[in-house]
Amino acid sequence: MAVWLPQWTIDRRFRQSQRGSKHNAAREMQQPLLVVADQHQRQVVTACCARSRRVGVRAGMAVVQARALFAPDEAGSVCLEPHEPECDRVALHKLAVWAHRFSPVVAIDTPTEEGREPDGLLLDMTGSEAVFDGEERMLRVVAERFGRLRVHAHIAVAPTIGSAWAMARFGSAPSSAVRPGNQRDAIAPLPIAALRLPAETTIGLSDIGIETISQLMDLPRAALPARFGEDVLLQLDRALGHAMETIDPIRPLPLPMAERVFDGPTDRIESIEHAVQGVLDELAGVLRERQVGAREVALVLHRSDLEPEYLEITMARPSCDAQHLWRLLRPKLEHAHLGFGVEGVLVRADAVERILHEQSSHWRDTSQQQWGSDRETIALIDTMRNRMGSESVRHAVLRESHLPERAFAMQRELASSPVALTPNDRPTMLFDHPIPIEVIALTPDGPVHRVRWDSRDHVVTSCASPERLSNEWWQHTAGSTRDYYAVRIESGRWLWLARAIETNKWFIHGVWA
Amino acid sequence: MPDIEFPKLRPHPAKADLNGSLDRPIQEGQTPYVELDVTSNFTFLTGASHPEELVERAAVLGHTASAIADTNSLAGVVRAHVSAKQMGVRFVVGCRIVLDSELAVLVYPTSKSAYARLCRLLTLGKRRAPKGECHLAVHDLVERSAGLLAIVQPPEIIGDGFLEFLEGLRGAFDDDRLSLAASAMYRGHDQHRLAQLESLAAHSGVPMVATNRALYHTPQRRALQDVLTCIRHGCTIEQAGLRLESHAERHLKAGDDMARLFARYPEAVRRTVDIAERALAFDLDQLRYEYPAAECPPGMSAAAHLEQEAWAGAQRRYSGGVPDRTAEALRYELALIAELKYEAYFLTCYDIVRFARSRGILCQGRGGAANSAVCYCLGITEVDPARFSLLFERFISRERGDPPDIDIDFEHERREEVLQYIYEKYGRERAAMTAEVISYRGRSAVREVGKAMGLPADCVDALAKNLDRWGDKPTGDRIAEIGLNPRDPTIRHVLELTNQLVGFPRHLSQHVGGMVITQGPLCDLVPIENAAMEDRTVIEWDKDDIDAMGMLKVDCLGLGMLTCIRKAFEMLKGVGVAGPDGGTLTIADVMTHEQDDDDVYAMISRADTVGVFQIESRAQMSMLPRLKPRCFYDLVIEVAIVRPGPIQGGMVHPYLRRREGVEPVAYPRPEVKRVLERTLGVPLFQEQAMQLAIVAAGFTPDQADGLRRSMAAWKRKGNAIYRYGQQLIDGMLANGYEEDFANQCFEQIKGFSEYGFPESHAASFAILVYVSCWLKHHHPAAFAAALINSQPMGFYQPAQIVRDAQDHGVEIRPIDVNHSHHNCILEGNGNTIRLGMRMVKGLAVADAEAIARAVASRGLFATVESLWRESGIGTRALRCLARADAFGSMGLDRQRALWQIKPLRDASMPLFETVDGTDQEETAAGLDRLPSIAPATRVLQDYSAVGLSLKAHPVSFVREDLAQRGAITARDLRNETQCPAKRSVSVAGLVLCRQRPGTASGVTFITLEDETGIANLIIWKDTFERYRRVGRLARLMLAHGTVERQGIVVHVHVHRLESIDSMLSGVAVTSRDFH
Repeated sequence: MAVWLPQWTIDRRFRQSQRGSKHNAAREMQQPLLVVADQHQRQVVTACCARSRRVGVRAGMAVVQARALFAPDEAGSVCLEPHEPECDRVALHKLAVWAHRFSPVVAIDTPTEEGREPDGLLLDMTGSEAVFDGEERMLRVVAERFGRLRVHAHIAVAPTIGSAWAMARFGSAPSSAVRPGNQRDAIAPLPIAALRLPAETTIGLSDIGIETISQLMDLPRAALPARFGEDVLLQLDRALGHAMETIDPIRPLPLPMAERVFDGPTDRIESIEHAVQGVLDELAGVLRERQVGAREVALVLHRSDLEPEYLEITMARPSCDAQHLWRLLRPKLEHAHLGFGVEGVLVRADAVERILHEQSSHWRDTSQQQWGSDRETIALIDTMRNRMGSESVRHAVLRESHLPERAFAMQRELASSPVALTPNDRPTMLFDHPIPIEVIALTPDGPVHRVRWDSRDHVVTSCASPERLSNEWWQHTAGSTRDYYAVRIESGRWLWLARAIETNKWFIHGVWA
Repeated sequence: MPDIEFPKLRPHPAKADLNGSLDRPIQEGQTPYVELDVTSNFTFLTGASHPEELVERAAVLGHTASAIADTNSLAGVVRAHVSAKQMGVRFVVGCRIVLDSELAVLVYPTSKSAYARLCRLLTLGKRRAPKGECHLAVHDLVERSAGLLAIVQPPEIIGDGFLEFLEGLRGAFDDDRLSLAASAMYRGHDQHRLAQLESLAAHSGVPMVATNRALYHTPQRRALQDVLTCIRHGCTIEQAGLRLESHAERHLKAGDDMARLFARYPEAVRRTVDIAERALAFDLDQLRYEYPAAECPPGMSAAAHLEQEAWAGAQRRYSGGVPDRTAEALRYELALIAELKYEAYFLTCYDIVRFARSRGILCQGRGGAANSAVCYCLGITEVDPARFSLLFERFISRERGDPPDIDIDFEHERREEVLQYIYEKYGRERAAMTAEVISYRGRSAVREVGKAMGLPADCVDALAKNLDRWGDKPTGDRIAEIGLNPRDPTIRHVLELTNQLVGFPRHLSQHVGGMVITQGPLCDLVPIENAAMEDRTVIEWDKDDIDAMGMLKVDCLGLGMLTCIRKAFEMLKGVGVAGPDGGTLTIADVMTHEQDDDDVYAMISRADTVGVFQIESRAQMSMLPRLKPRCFYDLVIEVAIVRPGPIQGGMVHPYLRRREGVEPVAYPRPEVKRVLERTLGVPLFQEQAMQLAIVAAGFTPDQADGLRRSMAAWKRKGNAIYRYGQQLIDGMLANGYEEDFANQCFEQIKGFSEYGFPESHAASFAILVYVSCWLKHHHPAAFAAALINSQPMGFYQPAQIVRDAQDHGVEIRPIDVNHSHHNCILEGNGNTIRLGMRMVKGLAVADAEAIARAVASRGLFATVESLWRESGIGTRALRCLARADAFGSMGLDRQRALWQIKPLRDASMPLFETVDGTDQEETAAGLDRLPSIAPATRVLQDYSAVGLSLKAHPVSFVREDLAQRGAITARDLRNETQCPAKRSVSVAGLVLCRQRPGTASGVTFITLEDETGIANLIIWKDTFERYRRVGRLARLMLAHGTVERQGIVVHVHVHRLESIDSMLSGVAVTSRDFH
């Protein structure tokens, strides 16, 4: 069976938007969607939704041209999304896994042409018709299931891969079946492109007027290879069943999980803990085998006569360390409600990421070390986050800005920050909010003589010339130009004072501690 | 018709008529100060103010003088110089030399020779670097340091290397001419820095000078400067970080402010004035441009030589004796030329034209000076002054000292030969192309600003697409219309900054044809750099700068029609049509011996003008039947009248009415009659407006010239034309004209605005119109073949040219490997065209020529294989030819030829490989069993490979279906009895072109072609919007509407559009990229 997904990338995006991620689910109905990529310094449509197609948009069109086809009131709402072949492929892989419900042997249909993305599935249905109570019903069920997923699919069942492929893509009906021995008649009227030939060959054939497979079959076989290469006869024979062809099936990868079922319900925390440690070890083994680490792990306690209890932990970095996971889960388990007893435990890694192999070196080169990459720190962060909430730990990274309050950012992810350029000397301690102070200076922009801060007068013994910082005008926040002065007071302490130019008010914004 | 030039968004100060007034009062009593370190926007993507703005600001701040020092460039100095003169400020020419070591030295010439050295230095650095860069080492500067004042800019971190550098320069410049720049930049350690520099100054003996490193004239330009930085770095404003300045301090500051910042170093402030005073010893006005002395016979002055040549030419031109009027004009012009010392300029043009003639390159001059009696006699132009009264003063103005202007058109394919001749004759040191300053326009500006401000690509796209349409003020509604929020602060920033950026120079490009030639080395006057094009060098100044500096240039332009005419003349010679002297025909021959041919004018009046020069566009063709040109001067009018200027000035309809006799032609005074008689009382040309001002309002010729200049700029700087307008009206009233007439004249003159067409250009163009029409009428085959051989040019595709030729009884033979050359050729008696292989898409010239050579030496080929072996061309080329169906003489159609070519392999040794017997059988069998292809498909394949088909028109295959749907043919549409005005009709055809001219307020014009001819559609904006998809995409269109007639001009005013692409694809599966 061949399944062709004529607008996979669009369907995938709509499915995602329905799941209500960042996208607005209602958008699907209201806004036309174009998937675009940069080609030769211009934006080109690589796929478009049915609505855009109705106004005449086609893949390969320049975005500018495509936009012009919409009515002016509609043109503004056209939604452009970037071409993400990688995401399409990953999602297609998931779909292929899902399709295992129809057949144990499922393959992703990889196109022969370079640069084209896979947009179909191949299913070996040998013996499956019986399960579905006949071929006709099987077609109907499969079509209906794809329909429920809201994925457009053209489906064909045929004795050979080639003929099924051809019928799915070029047959007149969205689903069709070819009886054994019938493939020749079925594919004869189809265009040459149905033979999965390189584009060059197809064009070469059409140049001499060969448009359909039947016209090709009329030509003397021996004259073909010299003119169009060996592929022509091979693909023809494959479609007709004269040559063998196999598919390269994918295997579904279930979520890494481990489970233990008790003989009967137990509320003995020790045995439950023991069981959880056991399944975590098992899970860690699965993860290591796949060379991945878990970012999210769920522990499910199957309770008798009650709905299962879920305990979830998240990790700052992917982990396959059972001990670490256990340390994070344990406090949660202590507070879990066991009900009338637990019948079994299950752990499942809900989100996994590849673990990058880090070479363990004898001498640790601290300069190369990203902050937070060592195990102890990670363990600490994970513990704090899982106990106090995910917002409890944040990571400060440098940003390039002249303004001191914008020269850093707090973020949740433990990202390594690129070494940002630092502007002039900045105080070692910066106040969250500048504190208004009183200052005596002889001239408005001259050196500072006295400062009143912390309810005390300080005589300034040294004052540098001002550093003028203007507001970042593109931030649209009201703010003024400030002159910053590094001043030293009698005690020897250096303060960082600022004068707002427009208001002539003084502040202290930091100190060198 | 050439594209309408987008108005330059910022006029050159020399043309802006600023009246030397400042908007703000000058701040007096300030500490004397000159800002010497000023970067204008001619340091591209760095400076954020125009030179004029900087000069004006310096004047307002009461600076002792203004200065500009752009990085490795003098491109902005002429503008600054001119506006400084207008505002009465003194101006210091400077330049920031950035050396390879990235250290910067500001230099200011103190004399003409020092300026020349600076230009040479820059030329040296630029000529050895790729375009846009300048590579200079310290020793380059040191060697040319005489007479230059220098200010060294210390780097952020001053190290030993800098000390060495400073001491090295001190050796060359000594402490008198060298200074050390010091700036208080509010960086938080300014006083430390100044103290450090002071001790460095004391230690090295190089005195300190205060600068503020200005990047803009007022602090309000900070945001724009930040955005320019982002554009330069290709980042967004969010990413730019510390690459931006931390404040808005890098503007021009008043002397008192500088004195306060340098309170401890008053000497450093004073030194700016000292440096400026010394640099002011040099002034750009001291540059004496000298035109190269012409080569004259020994012992003869240039004036005498010109006079001799002119009179000799006059004798040749007028075999029956020189007419009195021409003789008088000659004497007058020669005297004026001698007085203004322009002889050499005319002799140079004469020399260039003679060179072109000697190489058989057709050329023709135009422009006011070109249409002088002198130029006619020298053979630079063919416009006989005896038949025109043109104002010679317009282009040679006695008082203003403006240079004469001669544009020479050459065959577009051979103009490069002429340019290289000029380079060779005068050398790279003395001749170079003029620069063209490419400025930001709305669209390009909003793109860059939007990107820098981090707008998503599609928003930027939408803004860019709509900005030009909106004009200068994008309102909130319009922004909302394209789906953006007009109150969004980012959008507002983008629009505001775009507005500021528009008119900023973006880069220097080369002018289309302006050549500057000098007597002495050109690089003493202006730096010369490499152009993007190989073998070209360009100066840093554009044509306005050159005008302002009084430098002469010759415009050498390329014109496709000249190529076409020359090729037609040559083909005619091949079939025995020659000039009276037995040689190849010339334009002069046609103009002297074949002028006023009634049949030619009859053809023009029928608008039967596909392919001819200028009057071939749809707008021109709809005018011709109304104007019915009967003589040469009618052509001059026709060329000039279908222009936005006359159309917007409302002159077209009065003229037509008068010509048709509907409206009486009346003149208030006899002297007005003399001016306007030839255009029936309606001023159609700029020259007439000027003459009118002279005879009716008592203007001097120079005032009239001022009026002309203000006409060209009134939309941008409205006041000047009103000043002249008042003077015009007053003058006319004083001379006893009625007020209505005076007002009406002024309104019409205003109408010329940007796009008025001078009579002198129209006259030269009209010659080519006549010659091309004469060719088309008498030698349609040669004309069509030459036209195709000169492609790309003109308005029509080869398909239309071929079809038009067929309509005129020319036999067209298909491309054939055994008969075609690369170019189209005439066969038989000269009324048959054999299409050339140049029309085959994808075929290289060399392959086409190789085939023609092989056929010439071996005779006709009988098989594909023998051709392949003998000619040595590749199978790819053969396939192109087969797709073009060019194997007809071998009895092979497209399909069968391809079948034969397929097994051939380029890589193998063709001479030794034999095709084995079995394959031959298979091949033969295959030939018979190839499927048959529908005729419509064959036609479409022709279109796809050649761009036309001689078999049939694609529409003819669906004619029956179309007839059922009520569509009539284009021929029936033209028939007035069948299709009277206002009748509803349906027409169908291939879409030839879609146009939406800017002057037509959203109306779209579509031209359809069917098997009987073409049909013109007019589609109003709302209809087009309703059928947008069809209108934009359909290749085969069915249009329903009503007939509109005006004389023999027929349009269909469309109500409904349908795409009938599917009709053809039903016939043929492949319509791969046909068209």
